[in-house]
Amino acid sequence: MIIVLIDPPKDDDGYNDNVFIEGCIYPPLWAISLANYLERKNLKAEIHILDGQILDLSETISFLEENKPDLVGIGPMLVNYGNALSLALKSKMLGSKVVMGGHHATGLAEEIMLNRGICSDNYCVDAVIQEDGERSFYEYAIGKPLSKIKNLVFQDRKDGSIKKNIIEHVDLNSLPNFGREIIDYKKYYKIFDQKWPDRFYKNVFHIYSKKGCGWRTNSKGGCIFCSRMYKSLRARSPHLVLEEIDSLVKKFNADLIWDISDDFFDQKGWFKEFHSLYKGYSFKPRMRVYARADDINSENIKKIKDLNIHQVVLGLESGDPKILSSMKKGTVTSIGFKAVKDLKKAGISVIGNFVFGGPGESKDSIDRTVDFVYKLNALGMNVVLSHIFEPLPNSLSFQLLVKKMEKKYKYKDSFDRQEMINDWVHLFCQTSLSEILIALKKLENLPNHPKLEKDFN
Amino acid sequence: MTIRGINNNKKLQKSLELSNNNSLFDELDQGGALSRWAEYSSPFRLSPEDIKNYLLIFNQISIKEKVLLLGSTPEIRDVLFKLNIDVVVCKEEVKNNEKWTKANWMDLTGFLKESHFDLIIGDFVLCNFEPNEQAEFLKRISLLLKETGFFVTRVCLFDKNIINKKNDSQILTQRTVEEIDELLSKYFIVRDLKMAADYSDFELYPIYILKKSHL
Repeated sequence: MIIVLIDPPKDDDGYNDNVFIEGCIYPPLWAISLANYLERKNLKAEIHILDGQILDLSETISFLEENKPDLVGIGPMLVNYGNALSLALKSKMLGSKVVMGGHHATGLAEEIMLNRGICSDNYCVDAVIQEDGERSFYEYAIGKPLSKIKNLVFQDRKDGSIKKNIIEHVDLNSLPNFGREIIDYKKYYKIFDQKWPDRFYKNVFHIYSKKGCGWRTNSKGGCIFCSRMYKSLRARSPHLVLEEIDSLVKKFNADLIWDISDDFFDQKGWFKEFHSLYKGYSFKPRMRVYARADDINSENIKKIKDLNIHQVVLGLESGDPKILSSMKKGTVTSIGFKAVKDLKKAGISVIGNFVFGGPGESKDSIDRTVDFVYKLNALGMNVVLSHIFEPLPNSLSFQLLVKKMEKKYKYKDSFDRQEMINDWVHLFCQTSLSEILIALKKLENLPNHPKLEKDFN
Repeated sequence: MTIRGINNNKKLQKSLELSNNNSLFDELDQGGALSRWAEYSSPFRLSPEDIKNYLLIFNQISIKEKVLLLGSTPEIRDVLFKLNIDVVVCKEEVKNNEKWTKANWMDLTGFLKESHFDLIIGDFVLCNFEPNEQAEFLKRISLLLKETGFFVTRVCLFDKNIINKKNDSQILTQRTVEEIDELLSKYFIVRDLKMAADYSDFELYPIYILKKSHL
């Protein structure tokens, strides 16, 4: 059996502004996890991972043509859904079964089956797996009846109805550790070196310590823009995470570990245990983690130093209290300001994330955010990642957009990203798209904004 | 395609780059604007950062086989030349013997093929039209573009905080940022914009990257 797991290349709309803004390139963790799970289950299969950051669309298609896989797993996002469909269609033409999964597919599972399922005119997807994919994908591969596979969504070939099986999470601690041998990391190192030759770290590895977000769980929905598929927060055991880091350092000489979980400090007990166990390891790679500003206190800062966390990415989002509230961020600007000030005082690098275009965004609120960023920049927060608000499928904002423009968005699985942004701004902001774009450009010219290459060190 | 423009006319290109004494240059410079070009400052003349932005934009647009330049902004022509992009240059006052296309921008659809161009470029072109003509002009530009085409244009925004529009007839053609959005969105999707930061009030002169709308 040949199985191909694809993270598709970004769709090309003719304007290629695909910059690696976060300063890294890494293979898809979901595919690595799936491959390891299938291997542990002793599935007799040849497994390939095709990453759109390494292969372009035509190269991916050529691979499919040459290998004619039995089963293709695709993890699409809004920005590559067009290519995901092209690859799904190609796979069907080659006789493969096609399964989609991930955040985007989970949020639009019914819509995907309605538009691409076996009874649709554009049939190219056999099933969607919602949330955790390891067990479900394995069971699909071994031919378990579809109705018995948890997390699976599929279209009934008899009447065209969409069947949604119950969702059940896997125990994260029962999953095999992330064996990275399936990936040819040399390709990633090479691209990294070409793009960021000045970095002192070269071997960046991504891990996840948790799935989900505490704020999203506790506030019944979380931030309005969040499109993460997990509604609850789960953590891997600190011991397992540390073992993984140990293995990455020993086997791959990892010199930067980047935990992509939403909030490294979520769950105090977990963090305390992680910190305590860490002392037993001899490795000291640098770490980069995400955090909420309200997690930053003197006790955590001390631990951050102990753990060699050299950079904290804070979701500050806005400098306007009303916009923070309308985005359901659950924090205030003074907390963000204090977090940056304290981290910088402790010599820890800070990346500030901002999003323009929240509900009610106006010229005044934009100006307030720009002023806020300038103040933080003066404190030493020299890396700012600013984005335009995107109402991504699976988010509360997407639900609001669909409600307002049912004809255009309801029951659809494929969207023009730019149009979505335009529609959102038009319907939910008190300002224009240009005003937002101008603000984004202003932040590219911060006084303390040296070249990204240096900042990310 | 028939290339009428800078890449077919290396002599003209060279003259514009290197010399003010060339006869061809003099011929082009009947209004005197070109010989005074060095005296102009930004935003009227493209700044180094504006030029870098145009370069970046042209590099980021993947297909640019059929390109139309409105006017003859020297710096943009230089950028296109350096990128080895073939271009049709349209300017009303330029003589035909340079193989350029002489045209009124409002009449372009009369003799250029519709849905033909991958990229149309025009620096500060919108403000050449009366407010009631601007939408029609944009419509015609849109018609000339392929379905996947882009229109790249620097605009001159009107800052209502600084200038009282009613008291200055010269700025009637300028639009506020909200008005520009409304106007552009009739035929285009704003894909991105870029701004230079090396002259004062730069935020009033963004370069728009506009994708043809399918609506």
